[in-house]
Amino acid sequence: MSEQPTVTLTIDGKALSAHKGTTVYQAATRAGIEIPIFCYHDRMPPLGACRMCLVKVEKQPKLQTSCTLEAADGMVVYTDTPEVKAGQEAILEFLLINHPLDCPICDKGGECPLQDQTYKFGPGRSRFVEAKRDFAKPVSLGPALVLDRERCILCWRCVRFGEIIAGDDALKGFERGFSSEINTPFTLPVQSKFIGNTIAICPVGALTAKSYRFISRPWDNRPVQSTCTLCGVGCAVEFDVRGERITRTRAREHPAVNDIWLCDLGFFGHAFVDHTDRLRRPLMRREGGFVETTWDEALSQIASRLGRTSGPRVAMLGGARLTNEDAYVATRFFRAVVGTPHLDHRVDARPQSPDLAVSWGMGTAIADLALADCVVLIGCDITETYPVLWLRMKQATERGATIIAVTPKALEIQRFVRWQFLHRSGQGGAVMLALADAVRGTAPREAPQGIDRTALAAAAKALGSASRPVVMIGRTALDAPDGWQMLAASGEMCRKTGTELNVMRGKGNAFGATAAGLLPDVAPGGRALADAASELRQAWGSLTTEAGMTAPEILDAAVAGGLDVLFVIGADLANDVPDRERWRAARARLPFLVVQDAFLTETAQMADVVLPALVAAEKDGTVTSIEGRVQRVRAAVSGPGDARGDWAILAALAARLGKTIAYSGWEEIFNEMRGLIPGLGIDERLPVRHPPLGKPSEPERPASAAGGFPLILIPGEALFDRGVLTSRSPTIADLAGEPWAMLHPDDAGTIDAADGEPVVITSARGSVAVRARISPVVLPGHVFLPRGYDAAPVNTLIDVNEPVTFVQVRALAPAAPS
Amino acid sequence: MNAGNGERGTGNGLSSAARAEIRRLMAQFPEPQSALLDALFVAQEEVGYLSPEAIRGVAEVMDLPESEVTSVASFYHLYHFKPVGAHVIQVCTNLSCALNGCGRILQHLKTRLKIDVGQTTPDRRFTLKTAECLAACELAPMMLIGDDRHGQLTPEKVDAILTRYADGRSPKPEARGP
Ligand code: SF4
Ligand code: SF4
Ligand code: FES
Ligand code: FES
Repeated sequence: MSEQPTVTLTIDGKALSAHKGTTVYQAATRAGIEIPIFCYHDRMPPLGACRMCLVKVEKQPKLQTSCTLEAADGMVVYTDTPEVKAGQEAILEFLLINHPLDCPICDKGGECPLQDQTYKFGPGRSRFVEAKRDFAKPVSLGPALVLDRERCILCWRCVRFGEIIAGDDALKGFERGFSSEINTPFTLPVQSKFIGNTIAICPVGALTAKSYRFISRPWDNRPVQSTCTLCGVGCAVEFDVRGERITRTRAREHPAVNDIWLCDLGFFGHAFVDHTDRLRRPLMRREGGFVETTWDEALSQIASRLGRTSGPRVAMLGGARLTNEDAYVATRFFRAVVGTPHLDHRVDARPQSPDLAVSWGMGTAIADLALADCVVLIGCDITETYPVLWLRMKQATERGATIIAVTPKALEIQRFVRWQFLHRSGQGGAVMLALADAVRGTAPREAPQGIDRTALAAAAKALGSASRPVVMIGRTALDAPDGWQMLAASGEMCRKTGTELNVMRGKGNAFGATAAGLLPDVAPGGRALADAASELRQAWGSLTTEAGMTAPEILDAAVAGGLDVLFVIGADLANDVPDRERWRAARARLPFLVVQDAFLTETAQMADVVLPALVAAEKDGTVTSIEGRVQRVRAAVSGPGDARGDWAILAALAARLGKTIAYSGWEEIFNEMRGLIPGLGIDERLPVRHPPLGKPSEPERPASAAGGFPLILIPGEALFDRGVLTSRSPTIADLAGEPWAMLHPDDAGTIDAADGEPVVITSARGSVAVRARISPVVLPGHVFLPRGYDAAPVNTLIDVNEPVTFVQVRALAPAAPS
Repeated sequence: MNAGNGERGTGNGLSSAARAEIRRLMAQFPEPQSALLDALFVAQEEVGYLSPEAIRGVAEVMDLPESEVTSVASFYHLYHFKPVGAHVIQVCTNLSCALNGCGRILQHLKTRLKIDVGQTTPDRRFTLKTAECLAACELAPMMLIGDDRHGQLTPEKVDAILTRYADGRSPKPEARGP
């Protein structure tokens, strides 16, 4: 690479050199010279809207805006002459003409650039005596955002964030001149998954969070650095804590993960932590109901039940809500203390599905997504599952990257997708095979009906000529009736293009659970059990190193009466397993169920003993992200009642069983893990291990609509839902709204369903009531139903023995004839 | 986006003729987005005003965010977000017209039509609006009715002009466009 040309300039008498293309503002800031700004934001190109950054440049008659001015050789710049000061004062006086100065009731007070700069650079008085511009205030723009228009200084940061960073164009400027205002079209609720970021970058209190309104002042908050565990991206966050309450979540800069952004689930999803529903004491079943009990009694009861059975008749499910250290101690507890190999965190996997044959996670580094020149999303709804990753892809599209999507439901980001192959359920595999053929250069076999072969060829060409392609396969593909085919074709396509397949699967700390060995067939660190056996024995004493049952097999065993005790830790099986009926059948035959969780989940309601556990924001330790990055979580608050950390619970239980699991704290566990898990280190990435892909074991069964059930169900993901945690975070629950399903207008017409009206979806198995959303983002003949709404659980409709779920949709109140 | 299978679905705002016309307009420009103002006029003509559905229709055909389309439309005075009467009266209230007594003209229109600025007569014939300089200062005080300019107004002259529109037709064929 050639040396970047530099220029030399003088700012306030300091000689500086800067890369060509640097602005005067950037050169000054780097040299520690302060220039006040409002509209400029270093993640976006300069705009020059506010004129706060004025400087004097020798030989130029007027003051210049330093944020737009490119530094040039020999330039002589002054940032603090009387002329500049007068300019800054004039701009501030101008900005304050209509500003209400309601700082005492403004959430931004104390951390407001307008306040700070007025104090530092302002004139201190105003010549304006006229009435200020007035707006009805505040305006609610949906569940998360509040707008106080009269505070806005029209810097356009929020608008440009939506255009340049998120691509959702959520906020815009309306009207013009004196009447200009920031808003959404018709003041409707803002449509965004990233709006919290605009609150963070608004330099005044015009955009504030409903959940933080009048809650705290910055100096009353104690910031705690941690990591978001809600989806798997692992964004760096800071919890602001006041007393024993998290008042808000803010982004912490992490260049390799979230840069300076978060999604709204991260921003507003912490509220469940101090919800009054939190479990505070252990519960025991007595005479059909629960009674509160002591830890002593609860643990004794579990220990005595475990004493009456043998290790292999015990199993453990769950783990995605644990820290790495919790998961590791759980592995140790079950393999070494209880002596069972039946442990699996993949509770939502379909039996015999490719879900169980691949390692979940990304080999590609998150930061490298921005450098990709072609991204292929296979059954992977990126904004609904791993939202902050989209911001990296958006950067790639700005650089000209091509996005290709193979999906049964049009993506929200489709405006940025160059080729979107919207396919019928069960035909994704055929699309992928045709695409793989085209990439390989052989004549593509028959593309499924409705898929344009020219588009396939063009997409394949773009992928074939990409030098930095990224391929991602998601749950929608892996769980599809032709999931094995999709996986095989995706793998083939990756081999052809010399790239790796990223398996976009797993929520929360599923990756940490994998690394810590909460799997039936591998040891911590993804090593073969036999290889790790002697080291494990050294660390843990005697243990079982057999391969155990997978999550679906554990349920089967329970149904068959093969289990005595099931531990469910940090999972809500009733809602998480793919087929609710199987869980019911399993529970019915289970003699003893222990649930360790933060809430009385549906699963916990069926337990014999419930142990109250802490959540991530109450624990110290580490978690692992989808790219394998290990990061710290820190206890922001201490947790309700007698709730305890998960590893401490298991250690106490081990003691009851006469075994010792003793650690002084998370550090000691982490250090022990380092000896067993190659590559483990804070802020290091653990490798994702992909075992050789098994061949499809599932017979391809042609599916056909059964009588009375004409539509095909597509279960899928929604970022905002109403599950155990999200339904207890009011902002998220409001963003999610009531359970819904998406129908094509043709099908909606047939059944007389109107947008927003209640419908009932029925399969041979069961039914759920939801509100209809009518849109051509799904093809005719399909119904999209998001998982994660506990009031309308998809798994009541699904029979995992059938590759395809057929349903019928009925309008509850037929639409009035128009 | 190039869908691998046909275009995106249709909303309920625009007819296929209007959609075709917008596509035709887009083809006239190297940057299809340049056709947005004309496309908005097509939509407004068809629906009568820019309803949310009409805006959605334009956004769909042009593959632009709805928010962007709405934002652009709100910048201009000649787009209406609410239903308007058959004739839109715009009274200039900028400097030349103000100095020449537009206040009196506006007051006269309000009294005579029995509506306030921004309102429409119950018979849906007239909508009354004010405007900034309409670039006809030599005619001050002046107003636009639809696209027709009327200048050197007096209350009597306004009465005479209104009768010409009151029968529901424009006195001359209406041209479209800014
Ligand atoms: S709302 Fe805030 S970020 Fe948006 S333009 Fe106004 S001042 Fe700037
Ligand atoms: S993208 Fe995921 S990890 Fe990041 S803030 Fe959102 S939910 Fe949290
Ligand atoms: S910061 Fe330079 S013009 Fe706004
Ligand atoms: S001021 Fe009225 S037309 Fe110019």
